[in-house]
Amino acid sequence: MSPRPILLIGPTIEPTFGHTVRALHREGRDIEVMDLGDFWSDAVLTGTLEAPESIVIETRGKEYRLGDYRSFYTRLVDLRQSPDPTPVAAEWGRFRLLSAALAAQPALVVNRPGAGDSNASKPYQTALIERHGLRVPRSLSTNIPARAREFIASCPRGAIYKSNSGMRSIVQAVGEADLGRFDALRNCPVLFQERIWGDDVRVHVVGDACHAVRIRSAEVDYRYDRSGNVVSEPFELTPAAAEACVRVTRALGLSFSGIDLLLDADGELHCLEVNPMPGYSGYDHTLGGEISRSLGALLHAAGNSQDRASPVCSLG
Amino acid sequence: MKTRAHHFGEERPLLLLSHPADRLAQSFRAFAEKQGLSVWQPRRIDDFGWSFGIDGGERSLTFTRFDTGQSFTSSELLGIFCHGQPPLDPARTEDGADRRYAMIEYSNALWPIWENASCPVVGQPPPTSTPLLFNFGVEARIEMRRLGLPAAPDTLVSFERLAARADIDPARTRLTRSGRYSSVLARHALSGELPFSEPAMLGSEMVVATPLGDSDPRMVLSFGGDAFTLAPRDDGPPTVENAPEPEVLALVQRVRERLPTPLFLMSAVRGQAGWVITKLSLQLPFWMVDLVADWLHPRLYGHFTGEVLS
Repeated sequence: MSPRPILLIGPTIEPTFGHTVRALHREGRDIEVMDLGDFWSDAVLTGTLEAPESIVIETRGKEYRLGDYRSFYTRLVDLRQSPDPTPVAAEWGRFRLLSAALAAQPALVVNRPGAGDSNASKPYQTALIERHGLRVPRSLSTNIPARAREFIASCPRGAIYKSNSGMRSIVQAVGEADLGRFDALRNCPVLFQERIWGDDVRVHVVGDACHAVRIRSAEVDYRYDRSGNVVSEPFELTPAAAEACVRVTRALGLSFSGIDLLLDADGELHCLEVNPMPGYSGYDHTLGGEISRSLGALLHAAGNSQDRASPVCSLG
Repeated sequence: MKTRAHHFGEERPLLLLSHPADRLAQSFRAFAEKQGLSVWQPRRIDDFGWSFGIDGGERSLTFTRFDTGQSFTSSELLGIFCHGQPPLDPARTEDGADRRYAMIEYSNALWPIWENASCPVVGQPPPTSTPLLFNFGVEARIEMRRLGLPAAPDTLVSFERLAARADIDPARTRLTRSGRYSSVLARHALSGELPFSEPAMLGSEMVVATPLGDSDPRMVLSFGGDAFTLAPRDDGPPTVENAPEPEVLALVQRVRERLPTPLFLMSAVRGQAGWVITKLSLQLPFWMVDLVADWLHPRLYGHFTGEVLS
């Protein structure tokens, strides 16, 4: 049997995708790259979803027969610069069918389109995470001002607020000034959580492997800490915590996740979110390339297995 | 048999989460109120308050009528019926909030309701079981296959290459544009009767070709395992027929076992390997409502109240 390459599909201008391409190339993995920028502008898909391996994608004069690849790594994000944020029908249709074709593949897809849908609703995902064995902060999603006030009053160590949806928001502590704005909640619901004081821990699960980074920051949301004093360092999870991270990743139908946790003063971890398309390059630098090596190994090993991955995913 | 329990001396309301213009919601509301039920249908989403709490393994769900100040837990509701779009119209943005952002926040924040309500729920299922919510034909058929259901085969082809495909018979194939949410049927495209005004754009558009099968399609409405067939006509809405034949009914039961909501609409055709599903929808088109009301409404009513109407 001839060796089969790994197909990487994403926008080559995007930092995480570019990092992945470079990392797998450095490792000597047999890879091919399909630039999503090319795909947006010109592509044809041919084949049938009953035989998804037969589907051929043509873009910029190159053909990708999906059955020729041992596995797929995808970052299906739209980074095109356009005054109109809505793709025209033809472009959107191609993108939909690309997602459908990847979702139907029997080979490993990291991550399979649709598998990360729970991330679109943080309260929904928080309940799922807790059900699968990770501790979560006390949480309240609401648009009822009185309920929000009650919840805040029941949090002696303070509370934070953030978006309900998967749209990125800057996590902030609830302050005195915010209490006077609660009547505006009727216009847009908010997710409140009891504040957990401690360092952030970011865990990347790749198959069965866990790679953790501890982040020390004075800000509630370290991603927006511009002080220059953010410290990132490798962190060792307990076996039980690592097992729980792998379990929740699998339960969400993912093989690669970025899990946001907080480490409290008693050493307990509290899970905030499971990202289905993790931007991991910064953490990979902290860990000396551990994450991308695991990712390369996972994508390579998938093609060696006789029993191919099932396209079935379960979020439950 | 359940009875209409009372809440603080008042009837438990049925929460109807649908856009005020939704035809099925309008029709069922009129039926339910005629039967004496109290129906709470928020006219706008910001007239409807809810909270979902997670606290050490405990879940709490509260609903508030901003107009009366009444609050209910889900067990204090008779049930929740969701059909079509929720009344997403956050018109009051006093602080200048982005309306589009608010709509996304509303719709996604509501997901936990379906799994955590302790009253009967009909309508939009949790994404747990149906990540793609059956919104699009192709994705829906992928989802059906994941659920172990026989779905009609889909062939992907670009519009400009369609005419050269000898294996696709336009008379026996459903052609669906991939690029619009509304998925305009392009059956007439090959005969030159393009119903679109932008043929140049169509050239680069992808099309999904789905065989129509060897039989007339069966359109089946199912509620809680009961089902009846609608017969499509070329010159108007379908006519109502009797119970589906056994093979189609068996398919209905298989779908029923895999969906967490009792109401669905299924289209199926007989293919080479037996009956296959071409479409599965959790929403009824507006033109169907009057056709099926006599059959559906008593069943919906019975689902929420436990009462059998004679």
